[in-house]
Amino acid sequence: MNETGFAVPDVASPPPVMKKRSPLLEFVISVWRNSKGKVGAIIYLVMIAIAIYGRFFPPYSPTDVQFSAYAPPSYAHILGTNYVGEDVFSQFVYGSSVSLMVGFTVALATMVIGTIAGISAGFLGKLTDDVIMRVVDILLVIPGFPLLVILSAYLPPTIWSTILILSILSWPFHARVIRSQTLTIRRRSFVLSSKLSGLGNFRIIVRDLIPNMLPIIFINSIFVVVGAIVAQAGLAFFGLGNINSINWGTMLYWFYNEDGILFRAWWWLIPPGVGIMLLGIGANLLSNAVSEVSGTKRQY
Amino acid sequence: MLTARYLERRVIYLFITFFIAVSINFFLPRLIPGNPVFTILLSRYGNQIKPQYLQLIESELNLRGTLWQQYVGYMSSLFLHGYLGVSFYYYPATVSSIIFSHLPWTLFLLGTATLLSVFIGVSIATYIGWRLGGKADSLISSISIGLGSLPFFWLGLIFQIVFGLMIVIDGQHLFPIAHAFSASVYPGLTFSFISSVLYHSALPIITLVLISFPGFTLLMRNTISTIINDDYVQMARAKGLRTWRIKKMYVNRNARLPIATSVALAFGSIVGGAFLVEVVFSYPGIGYMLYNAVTTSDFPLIDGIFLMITITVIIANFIVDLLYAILDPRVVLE
Amino acid sequence: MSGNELLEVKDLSISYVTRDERIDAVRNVSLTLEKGSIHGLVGESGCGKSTLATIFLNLIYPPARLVGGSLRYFGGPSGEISVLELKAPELRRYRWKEVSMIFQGSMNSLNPVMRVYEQIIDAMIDHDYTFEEAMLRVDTLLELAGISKRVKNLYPHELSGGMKQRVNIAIALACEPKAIIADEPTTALDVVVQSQITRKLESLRRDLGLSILFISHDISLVGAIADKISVMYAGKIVEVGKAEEILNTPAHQYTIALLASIPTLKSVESRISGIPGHPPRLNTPITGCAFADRCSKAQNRCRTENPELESISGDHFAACFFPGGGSNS
Ligand SMILES: Nc1ncnc2c1ncn2[C@@H]1O[C@H](COP(=O)(O)OP(=O)(O)O)[C@@H](O)[C@H]1O
Ligand SMILES: [Mg+2]
Repeated sequence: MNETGFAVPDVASPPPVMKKRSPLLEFVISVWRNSKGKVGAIIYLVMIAIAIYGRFFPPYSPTDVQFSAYAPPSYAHILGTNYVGEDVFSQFVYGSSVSLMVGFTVALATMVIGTIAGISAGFLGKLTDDVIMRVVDILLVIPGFPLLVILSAYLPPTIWSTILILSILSWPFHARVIRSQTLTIRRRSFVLSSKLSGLGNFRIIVRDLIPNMLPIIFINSIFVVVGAIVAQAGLAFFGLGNINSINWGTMLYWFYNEDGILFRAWWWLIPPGVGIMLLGIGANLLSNAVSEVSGTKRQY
Repeated sequence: MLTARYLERRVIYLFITFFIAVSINFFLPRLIPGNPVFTILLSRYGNQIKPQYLQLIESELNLRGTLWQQYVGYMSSLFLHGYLGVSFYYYPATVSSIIFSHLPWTLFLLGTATLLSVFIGVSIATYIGWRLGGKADSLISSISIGLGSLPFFWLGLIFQIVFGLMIVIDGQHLFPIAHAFSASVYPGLTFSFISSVLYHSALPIITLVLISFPGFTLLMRNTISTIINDDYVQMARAKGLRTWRIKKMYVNRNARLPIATSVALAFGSIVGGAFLVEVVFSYPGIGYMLYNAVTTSDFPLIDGIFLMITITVIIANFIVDLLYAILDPRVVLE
Repeated sequence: MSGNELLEVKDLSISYVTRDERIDAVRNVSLTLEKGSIHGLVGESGCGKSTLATIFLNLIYPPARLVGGSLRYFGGPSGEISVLELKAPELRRYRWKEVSMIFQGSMNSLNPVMRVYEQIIDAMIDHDYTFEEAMLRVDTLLELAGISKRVKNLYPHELSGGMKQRVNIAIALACEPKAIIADEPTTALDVVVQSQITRKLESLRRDLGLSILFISHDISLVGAIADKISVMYAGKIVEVGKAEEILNTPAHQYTIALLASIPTLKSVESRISGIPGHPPRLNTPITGCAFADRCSKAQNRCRTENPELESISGDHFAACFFPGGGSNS
């Protein structure tokens, strides 16, 4: 017990625990009520809306090349045009759907693999734990970007290869966090009491572990979304993956390779970076809000 | 505390990781159906290669015999002779010679950027850690979050345009946008060479540091904010210690432990950043070479660079582990 | 005023103020610690003992907030001082030099990355001892605390719970204070060590003329060592008097209930759940006696009127409308 009189209250207030009835809804509502949470959520909602619906309303087709190249922003092209005269704004809008798709797909895969691995390690212990954690340790120590590059170099250059590789490499960190959470939560009495009442392991996991881990799962996944988008952009910049797909990463690839710098075409360079930065800021805001609401700290 | 037992465990761990990285390097090309290395070689130079040399190339690439024989051959040539093969593109240069002439530049960027980031990040955090919830805190935290979310190469490109091209003073650009030193100086321990190197590395290093230090600031800030409520800090206040002593001996000494762990993790991400920034600034490190190798499908070079950078990171991690044990008396095992 | 006071708390109120609530942890408390005496402070967990203890070194930091009250210290060379009005540098010099403390949960009070001796000497060095003087004193202090001087080069994680507590005692004695605030100094220790530590504190009082505020949730423990006892409930002192009086002729119904819940050899089962019911959460103002809801003798009056501390006999005060009826003797 940590109690000096000024530190944490002892018996009076138990650690915040998600209530049983519809935990998800309550969680979402309280994050939305938090001011940081609201701003973060709005950033994401707007970005997702642009990604999903944007492609139906762009001013031009993103591959329409009938305009003059390297035109700075104007009324006709609010973000100017690129090296072959494609409209940058339309490319940004269209590209956001691919970038976000990569981010969310990788996050989903990471959460599934990482959560299963982490819970198995923490819950089953013994050999399972040893094996999973050794794999995690080793994958964590190998530098991520070079590993991404070498894997991409050997796989066919499609966006799905990129998604596959990113998913394979993102789960270890999440698994490690989930494992330590599993160990903590397991020690808490309510899991013990479910065990006493004769519930199977599976039901304990579904009823007790997962609801209590929702906050940390959310925090980790939102950072995986951003991390995957940045990593995909980095790979695209290296010319890996499908460079003809339109996304924020390939926009930067073509900028670099078609001398966007010498033309000082800042209007072509800035949008993808700002898009990524907004997602990063949104992720931090959302994660701070979730920590404040649930009392779960982000792990590093 | 650094004990022999701990050291032994870390060394074993070092070798296992090392071994696994080497194995990835070996198996990756061989797991892909229709070995791409060989395919590319044939498709590119197939008509020039005389049939009798094909076998020679196969054995050169360790592609003969069973997988196990290949593995043994690969391992022995690597460990006994440090042999990583020959570059396709820079033929007849060996991969190891290419790597060793370019690795120092990468290590220079990485080392400088990491040290600066840790130093700046920790100093700023120590400053705001004692003023939590104030204006400076929220301002610095917001800036850190924004900066830390930027992609390395994007910021590098922005700096190139702004400081390398747009700002012109007396008909001169502010900073060079490519290469490690100017073509007019001759490498050597001369003032003109060193200053040219520093000048050329300025933008790449600033890019790396600006994106890397915020992570340390935020981590250190959060660490300090928890430590400040720890019992032993309350006790230190009660003891009527001078403020600097509380900060230095009670707060910072405990806060540097989580920092040490995160430096190891962050180092991996700074490596990625350095590779991308090298490409942006045509900086002749192994990241730039990796980029060239990727665009020319120079697989032996790709493999070799991956292996070398992995070894570098593993060794850096090893050093951090030792440092951690020295910093934290509680670490005996695990 | 007998002129024998060392520390005097008057009308003290401390609240914890967070975004969503305000907990009035200490409500209008007055308490006097006399020179060379052991004063016991007893009450269930959560009643505000530790919060009250922090005032003696003026360790009120957010979310805690000082709502009102004063603390006077009479042991200084230049007569009486108002501790709560001291400026930062003076406060720093007052801390540990005049009054020191053993914290609750003091298992965690030692800095994990400093050796034992470093944590003993730093207090002295910051209170005008030279490094040599401080180093010379380390052995004496460890001996006083009843622990081998070989521990001085160890780190806290290498010590057992009892040893850590003795190191805490050594640190508390470092600057030769006049008083020690001991907040649950034996909780979390096993019974044997518990009594060793208690006897140690007793002998220190005798040998060094220390005043000790001995805080515990265990009235039998306090009864064994204290000269005077204050009983605390829901942020208030509800009864105060000489130890024998409190133990033999308790007046407040809460004290009676506390004493009745002590396990005896005859009636182990009477103890098991302590006093039935829970103390009130202090996040809403309380009208009437805070104990009324758990009290078997409560009347209407107890729920509407605030009982004040009133003299039962001489020095013995209780804040109860229907005192007595539970004599132990
Ligand atoms: N840091 C804090 N923040 C909010 N409430 C607190 C804090 N510390 C203690 N409290 C509350 O103040 C009341 C008194 O606590 P405390 O003084 O620790 O009691 P005791 O020492 O008698 O167990 C309790 O209700 C506790 O929950
Ligand atoms: Mg307490």
